[in-house]
Amino acid sequence: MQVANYRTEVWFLIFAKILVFAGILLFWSVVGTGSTGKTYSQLIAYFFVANGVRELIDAFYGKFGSVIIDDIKAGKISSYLIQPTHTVLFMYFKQLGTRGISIAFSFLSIVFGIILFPPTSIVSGLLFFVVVISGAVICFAQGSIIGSGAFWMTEAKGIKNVVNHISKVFSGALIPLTFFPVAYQIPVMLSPFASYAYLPATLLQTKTVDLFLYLQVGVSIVWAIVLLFVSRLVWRKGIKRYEAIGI
Amino acid sequence: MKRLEFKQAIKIRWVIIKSCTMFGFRESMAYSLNNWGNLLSMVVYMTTYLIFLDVLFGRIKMIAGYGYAEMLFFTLIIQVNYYLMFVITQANTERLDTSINTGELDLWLVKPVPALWFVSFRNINLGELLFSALPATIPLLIILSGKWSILAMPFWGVMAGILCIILGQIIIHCFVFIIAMTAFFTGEGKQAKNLSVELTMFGDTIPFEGYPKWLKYVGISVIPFIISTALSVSFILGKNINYYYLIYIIALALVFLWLKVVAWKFALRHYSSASS
Repeated sequence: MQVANYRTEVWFLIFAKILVFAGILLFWSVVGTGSTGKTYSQLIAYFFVANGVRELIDAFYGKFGSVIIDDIKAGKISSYLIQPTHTVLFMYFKQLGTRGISIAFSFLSIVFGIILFPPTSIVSGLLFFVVVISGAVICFAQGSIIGSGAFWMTEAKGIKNVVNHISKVFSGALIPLTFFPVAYQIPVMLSPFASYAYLPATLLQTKTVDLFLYLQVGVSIVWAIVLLFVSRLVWRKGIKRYEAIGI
Repeated sequence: MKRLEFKQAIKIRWVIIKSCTMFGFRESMAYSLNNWGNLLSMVVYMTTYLIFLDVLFGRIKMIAGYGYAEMLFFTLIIQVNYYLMFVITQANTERLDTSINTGELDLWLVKPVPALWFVSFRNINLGELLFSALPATIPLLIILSGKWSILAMPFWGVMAGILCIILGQIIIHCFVFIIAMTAFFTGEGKQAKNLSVELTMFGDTIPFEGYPKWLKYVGISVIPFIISTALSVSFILGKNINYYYLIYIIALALVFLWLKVVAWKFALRHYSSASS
């Protein structure tokens, strides 16, 4: 509601998001699709779904990480800690509300992608939802780990941006991961970033779910569990340090 | 305006730029950890972008008639323009929004300084340019170092390209500032500023020759996203020898400068201060 108060701002935000997509579409129309092994509509559908999912789970800008960093830096976290709530979840849902327009836009983007190139397999459709959830968990854990960095450093936004830049290329949002040299394809596809864009988009476009796709989904779930555990660990360590300095 | 008054006006503007730049530099030096974080972020961005180009050119030979070396050079100009815009325009439009929102602008309006000039250039962060932008470009320069001989760069093309970069930056600055001034009417201008920056960077990875004709017209007129990068590289690499563009761009820069002043005067007339 706070964001929606400024209606002009909302329109500017929507227009800016459309521009980002338009830029990607224009770029690929210039590059051409001859070398990709995909038709133009298939490639466009890929980017709609990939970037839509990335936006949906907050992997586009990593706003959750920024919110944690800002709240720790400003000392706002002190008031959250004395509340009878789960602090990290509280901060997550607080920033989720401010992303309402982005989330609505991401749904639209995914729907456009599906209309342009409808999925043909029910199994892959179901796996798509599984990967979106595991991607969201990975992104949540990533934001939490990076945000916790603010307990040790005054300014952790640089680190957050570093991870964002890496994820932009290695998630397949900028370029499909099948473009990478064969030797690098498997490590990149099995990285946690693949769950942000490449894997969900591929699942919606595949005709048959092969063993490697099942493996990728499995690895994505494992990443989600491991990173969630690590994020809890880092947060607890950080909180101890915060207590020592602040309250 | 009399000659003495004109000299005074120039002098005070020079003093403002000099003082603000020095202050910005000292300010950035005070937070050295920020600089390290920014530097790391920019180096990684550059590296990932180079990986992107490398992967792309592993599959294709050319983008809109530009080979790998030419695209690397194109990337260098994108970076130069981005950093210039970031340091001169983006930082100041951000401050303008906050000033309007908090009522801080009132303070500057009552001071005996040219207010528009001051809010346009009050925060020029040289530290960012020297200690983040420059080192972050090193990986690109290293890769480009062995490829300069491949690039054809006619002398007049280079001159025209440099002029395009300078005028393009002036035009972008005015464009972003005019859109950011919507904060005078809406009370909040963050997204407006983001949109204008997004507009000026639209398609910044696409060479001039790759744009459809209608988009070229848009990009060199109402939404000036083509001039500082795509058109300047096209001149520098000798792909475009239509120097009539330069006359047009000089005129466009003057129009945008005039529009900025008009928009500022109009916005001030409708400014209801937040602090008083």
